[in-house]
Amino acid sequence: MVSHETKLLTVNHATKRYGETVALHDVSLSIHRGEVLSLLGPSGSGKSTLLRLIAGLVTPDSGTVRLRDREITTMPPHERGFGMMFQQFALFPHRTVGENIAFGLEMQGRSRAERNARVEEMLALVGMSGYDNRSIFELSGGEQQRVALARSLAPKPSLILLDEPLGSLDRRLRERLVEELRAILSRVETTAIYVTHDQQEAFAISDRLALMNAGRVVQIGTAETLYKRPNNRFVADFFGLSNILPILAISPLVEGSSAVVETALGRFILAPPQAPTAWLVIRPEAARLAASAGGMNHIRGRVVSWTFRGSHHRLVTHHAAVGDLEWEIYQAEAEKIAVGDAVGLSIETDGIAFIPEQGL
Amino acid sequence: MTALRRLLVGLAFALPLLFLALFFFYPLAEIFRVSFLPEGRLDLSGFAALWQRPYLRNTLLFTAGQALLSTVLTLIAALPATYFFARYDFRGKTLLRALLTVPFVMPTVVVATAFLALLGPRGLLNEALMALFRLDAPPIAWQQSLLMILLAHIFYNLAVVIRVVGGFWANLDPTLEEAAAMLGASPWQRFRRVTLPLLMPSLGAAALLIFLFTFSSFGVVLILGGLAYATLEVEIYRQALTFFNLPLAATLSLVQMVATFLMMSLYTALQNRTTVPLQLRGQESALRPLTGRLRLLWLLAVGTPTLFVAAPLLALVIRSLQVRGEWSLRFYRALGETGGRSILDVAPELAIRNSLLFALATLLLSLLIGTLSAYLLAPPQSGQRARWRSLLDPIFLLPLGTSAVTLGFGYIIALDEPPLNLRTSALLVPLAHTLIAFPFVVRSLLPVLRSISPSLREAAAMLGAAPWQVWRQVDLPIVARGLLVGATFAFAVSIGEFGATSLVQRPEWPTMTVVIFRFLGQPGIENYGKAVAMSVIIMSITIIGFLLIERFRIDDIGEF
Repeated sequence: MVSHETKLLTVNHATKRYGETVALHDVSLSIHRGEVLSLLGPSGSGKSTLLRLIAGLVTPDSGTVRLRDREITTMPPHERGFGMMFQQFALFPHRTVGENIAFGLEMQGRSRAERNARVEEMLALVGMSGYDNRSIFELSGGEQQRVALARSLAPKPSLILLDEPLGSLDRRLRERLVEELRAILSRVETTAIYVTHDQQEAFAISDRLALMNAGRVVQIGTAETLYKRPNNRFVADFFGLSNILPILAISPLVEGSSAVVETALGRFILAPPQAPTAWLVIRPEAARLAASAGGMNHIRGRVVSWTFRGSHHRLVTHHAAVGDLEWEIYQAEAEKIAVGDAVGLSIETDGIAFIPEQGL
Repeated sequence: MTALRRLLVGLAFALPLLFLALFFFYPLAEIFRVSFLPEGRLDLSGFAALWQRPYLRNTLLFTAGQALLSTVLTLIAALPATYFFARYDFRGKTLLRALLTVPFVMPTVVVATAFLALLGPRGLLNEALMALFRLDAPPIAWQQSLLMILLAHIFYNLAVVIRVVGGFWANLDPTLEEAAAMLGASPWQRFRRVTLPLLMPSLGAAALLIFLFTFSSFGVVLILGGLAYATLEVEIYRQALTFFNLPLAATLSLVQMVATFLMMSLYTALQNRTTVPLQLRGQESALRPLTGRLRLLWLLAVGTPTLFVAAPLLALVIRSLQVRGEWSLRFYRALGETGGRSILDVAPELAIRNSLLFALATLLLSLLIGTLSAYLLAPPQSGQRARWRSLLDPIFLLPLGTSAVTLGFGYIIALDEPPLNLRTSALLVPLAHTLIAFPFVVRSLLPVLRSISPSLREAAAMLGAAPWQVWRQVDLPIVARGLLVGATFAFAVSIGEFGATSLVQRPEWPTMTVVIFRFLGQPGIENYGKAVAMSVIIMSITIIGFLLIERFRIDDIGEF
């Protein structure tokens, strides 16, 4: 657990409206020194507004922003000492690569020698040494991204904000750059907030994630927590977990360490839920093809779709009681399955989670 | 194609070139000849006189000086408003922008009269102040002063800054400023280090345009500057019409032509640069709403120029409807009365009729020449004939950059002898107007023509349409809007034209602008009233034309 002393920035009950639409609704979160926190969510969920509010580019209608012990809610952006990377990079077209990176240093009133040294250092950090005098028009998308990163890191910001910094690049480049970005951020030991709508990107870069929807933070935690213990149907849906079953009854076993959970598809033996709950979510990779018929943690269904996906097979089964469920099967015998077959699937209890009732 | 059709098409395309040769290049060549060879021998003493005679030197210095001053003052006056138009969303924005653009299309004579109606000795302001403080003489005595000229020039060119710089500014990615803010730049540093350098090409373009327009200022200076001040243009007019010193007028015209040409080339070069950063615009750069403290600044930045633009025009209307403090239509009725005995006492009615006739003739001629020119220039820039066309393009733009007075002067020295003696013909006026107006028609039509996909015409042909049917069914419906805009331009230009008209007009064929100028120069409230009333008529025609153009023009066509 992270203690209170390491909190770098705290947002308290921030609300922001644009006319009739509520962009942020009573949002509270904090970021700890040295961590990378992702704000993840679909477009329009308020993640960019939250980032701009932290940046000072947007002032909240109510609520506060604190940096360490100081309230900075209405402090203008240029006094905050944060860095920001924009989606389209926002490189200054009238300045060379080196002059772009030096801009923040000029604003700090650094000497020319200091600036040059720092620009060199930054270019080396992002692997672009010798690019000082290039025009930004000569750069590829990936290079522009690196210059933008170097520019925002050059003044040594206490917090760096990244607004979908890879959003305008193509998929393959993005996958490569996200690893690079992560490595650079950890090398300079900075604190960062990373906005993205891409789950893979968020998983790859962050220590913790805040999943947002409709102007609220829905769940905060590590990637694993969010994925394995979604506290809300929205969270499950967002991660593509569509195998959601209503719970008919829960009967604790004598020992108390487990309970029998009854659903329309059969019974599961699980650790008892911590909170009132009405739904089960089963991750797609939790199922294995099983010849044996019936029993606990076992379901039966008819194959409606079956496709080869390289590392695995994707299987869709139909169940009269709950409709279609989706699975990823990593077994060799999956090859023998055909559409129309009746199959049995055994479910690993590790892959099953309760969705708390209040999260509905 | 049959040989006959080829010949007809060739002739049709030759017509605009012939027109340009006769009514543009020939008069200009005559200016060269009269200037360099006044007595048939090479004589450069005229050029030496430009600098040796203090009077001429002062005229040159004044022309450049007032243009520089006008340019700087206009930029200062317009930039705050430009910022709000480019970056903020507010109610009535389109309307306000249109209102601020109205002066740009106003004829000079009207603007000069409007400023007299507001600030002149008989102006509204003076009258109000005299009544308020019981004064015997008008307290504001700005007539025939540099201040009055500068005010009118600012009035004219606010729109240039708001349109040229504002359009560019609105396309600047606002996240660039945000990025600068995040890097520690204060609002002033953001403007100074990021926005201003990026705006520079457009500021340069606007400044050059304003300098060009005010350097060539004629009507405003002639009327508001009186005898005390003269730009090159005014001096050409005086030398040609008052002193009959044709060689000197020709030399001055040459200077004017060279200066204009230099500025036009610079402007074109700058314009090419202003198009570069447009690709840098962010995807969703929403305009900010006005809030709190900003409203006050907005009122100052946008309200002041708006008032400044509206006041003279309103004063003009009010002045035309008031006779000795009473509301009356007498000045308008006076326009219908026949003139007195003197040749200077022309019937205003006659001038109105002439102006309308000339405007109609200009409209028809401009549409004919303009449409043919546009078709000559329109086909895609490729293939063997492309090089031909890349030569033609600037030739058809040249008339746009030539000052009206120079043109008029060229006409009187070139078209006054056989084989082309039109000096006594009323035709000179619509011919000069057409030369000024038809480039606008070309510019309204060209983009439209170029946008018609050839496959449309091919499809029509494959469906059995003969060539003229293809034109009737495919081209015409698409081109109609451009034609309407071009026609309106031509009509409005002709009605308000003063520079060329003042030189080529015949006393028996006066136009409205010439008559207004004449009335302003004569004593008596009656003459003043007629000038004001007639100015209101021209102003109304211009505003209606402007609204028509704004309504029908396709984006980015017909600006400047």
